Amino acid sequence: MTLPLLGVASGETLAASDANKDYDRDYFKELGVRTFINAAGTYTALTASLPHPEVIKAINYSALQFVKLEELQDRVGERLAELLKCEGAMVTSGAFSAITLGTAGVITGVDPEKADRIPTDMTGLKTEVIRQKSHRVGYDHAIRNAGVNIIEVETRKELEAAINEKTAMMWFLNYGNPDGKIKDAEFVEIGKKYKIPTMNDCAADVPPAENLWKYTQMGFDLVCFSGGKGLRGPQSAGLLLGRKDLIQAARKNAPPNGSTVGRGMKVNKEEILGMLVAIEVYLNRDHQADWSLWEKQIKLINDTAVSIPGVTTENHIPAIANHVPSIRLKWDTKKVKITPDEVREALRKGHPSIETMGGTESVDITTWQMIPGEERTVAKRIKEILQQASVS
Amino acid sequence: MAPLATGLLAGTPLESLNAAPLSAKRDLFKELGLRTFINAAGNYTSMTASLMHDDVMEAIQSSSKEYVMLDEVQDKVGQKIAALCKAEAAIVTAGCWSALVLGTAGVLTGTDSKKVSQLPKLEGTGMKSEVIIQKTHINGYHHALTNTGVSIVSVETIEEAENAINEKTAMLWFLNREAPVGKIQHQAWLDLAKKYNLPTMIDMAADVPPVENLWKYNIMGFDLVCISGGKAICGPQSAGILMGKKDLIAAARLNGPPAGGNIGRGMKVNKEEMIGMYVALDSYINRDHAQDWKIWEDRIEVINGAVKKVQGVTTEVIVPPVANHTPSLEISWDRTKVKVTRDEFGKRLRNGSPSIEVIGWEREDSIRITVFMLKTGQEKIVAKRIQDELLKAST
Repeated sequence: MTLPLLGVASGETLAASDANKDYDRDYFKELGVRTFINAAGTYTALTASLPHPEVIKAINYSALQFVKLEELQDRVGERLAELLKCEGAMVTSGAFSAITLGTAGVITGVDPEKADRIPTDMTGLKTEVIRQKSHRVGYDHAIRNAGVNIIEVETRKELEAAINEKTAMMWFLNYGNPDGKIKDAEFVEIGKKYKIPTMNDCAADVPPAENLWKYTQMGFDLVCFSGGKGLRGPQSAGLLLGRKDLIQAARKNAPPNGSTVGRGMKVNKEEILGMLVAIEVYLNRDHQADWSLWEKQIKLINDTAVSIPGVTTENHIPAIANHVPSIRLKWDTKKVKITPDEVREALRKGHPSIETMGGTESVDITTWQMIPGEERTVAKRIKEILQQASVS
Repeated sequence: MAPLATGLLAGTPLESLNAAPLSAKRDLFKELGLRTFINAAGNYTSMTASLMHDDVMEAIQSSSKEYVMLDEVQDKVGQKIAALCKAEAAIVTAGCWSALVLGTAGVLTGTDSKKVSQLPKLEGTGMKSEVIIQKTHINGYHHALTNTGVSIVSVETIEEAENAINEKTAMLWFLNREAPVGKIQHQAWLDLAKKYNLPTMIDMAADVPPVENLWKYNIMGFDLVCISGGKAICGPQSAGILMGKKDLIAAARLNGPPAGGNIGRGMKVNKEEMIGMYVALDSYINRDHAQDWKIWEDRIEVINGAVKKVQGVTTEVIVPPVANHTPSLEISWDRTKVKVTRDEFGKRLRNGSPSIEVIGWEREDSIRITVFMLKTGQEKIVAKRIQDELLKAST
């Protein structure tokens, strides 16, 4: 086929599978999009994580052939379930999508007529999902997208009183566990007692790797993970894990099935296979080595920052969600005359550009999504900026 | 935390660190026991629709190497796509369906974040709640609209449509594919909307080729235009485009990722898909479309020439007027001479080597094939396999 792509895409002369080559076109540069060192963490708005090279290899591989999308979900789901020690699994268009599809599956079962009706016609369907007040978060919109209302409770007593014939599901936000009056295991126990399916949203809750099976084994009927955060799969992918019958029901509400609440949450064959490979790579990582690398990186940034008079640091590890070594930089503004906002902006505008987090009190940094070595650049830039603002 | 037992994984041991060498080449479809096939059916989502070209794959690979702000990519890619398609603004969505949902949501909420947080429950919010559609245009895809919480009001004539318009009317929706069977055509639909100052949306998911359709409906005056990215354009299969009026696109974006707490957050598109979609569109527009068409006709002729030699077989070249507008070949047979059912015939092609998928659900004793998703040379394999199977079933 001689279909010249003219000057538009010179890429066609390159072999597609060599992962280590340079690329003919730099699209971000062409488009004027700023690239940066990610010292912030796995934030969707910041494109979260870089897919592992093995994932990109899998994407390249799967782009070359046609397969049946359903057959691919079947096989990949079986494999994922085996690797993650649960009954069933599917690849979704992110953790949010996993929540909607799982909720939809609980409501509709495998009945396409019901899948065709939600979220507008809930006649004869269960319409309430119970969650703890302290687990309220923007992500629960994913549940409401399936057409149900959220019932808020605080105590076990309130929860048991709220259960009625309209109750579809009980939803748990994993990182809210410490804040809730009902902890994970008790939540599951109540669900089982009343035969109400339970779902746990664990979006950003690996590491540790064990969390990938901890909650299904604890008894949650459905567990949702983000694929493009700590797992370094495609950023637009996620996982729904759990009971086989509920996964089947969720799939009835997902593409390639049309006329469903989930058809807009498309995952292609490349993402499905990429997600599987991401899990394989993640499970085979030396997690201890990862951890000690992160600790060393944080220590370097810490030591560099505290060398400036007036600068103090807090090294911490979030208990759940983004559970990795993290550092908070603070300073005495009498000695270092610059605000955290200004430091973040200076890091952003420098070369190379660096993204960090934090509020009015601190600049917050994680290193786990950096390309190893970038911590040195980050440490150096922070030192330069804080030094320049220091009262001599 | 000790490394997990590698016994879990049948494949090769994978390396652990970023800089580690890549594992040996794996044939993942084979590992998983999956059948790959020659796609003589066409752009069906369940069959993974289309294959991306090398330049798109290169764009996906290169954009996987760096961090960027997702919204900045969407801004810049959107500007490029809008310029290519002569629209005011554009975004990459997670497929055409997602474009329908996000566009409708934007019409309902505008840029009011409170309203964004209320979808899909419209009652008591003050938001409009009805979308008007011609009866003949209601065929399943309207469910994308109801995902935002709206109800569908079905009409057949202009008069009915005018009667249906009220203060709850959010939008007038048009399904391009069904235009030939509707009583109201594009311009009349737009005139009606203009008269009542209502926004319009057109769904043209699979309606390129012809390439001109990419801008035709923007120029005609539809406020929002939705198209699939992973069909004939050969972009990522999980991508699509929403384009149209600047204010409506801005509103649609508030209802999708990376913003959370909205109707569309589950419809994620990553940076690789956004860049890939732009590159695919740009390449598609710049193709030699006349040459493509000629190649498709030649392929059809190769297959036609082979199969019509079989006694009792008749063929017809069909070009669907809208949607999947490419030459296709209907192959029918006289059951007294070719003794096989359509389903069994499809199964034999599917189970043969190489496996071939065709359109086998339209008429009895007949299949239809398209050639625009074939790789160069596959038309000869398809021709021979179909001829062989027809002969085998003949007395």
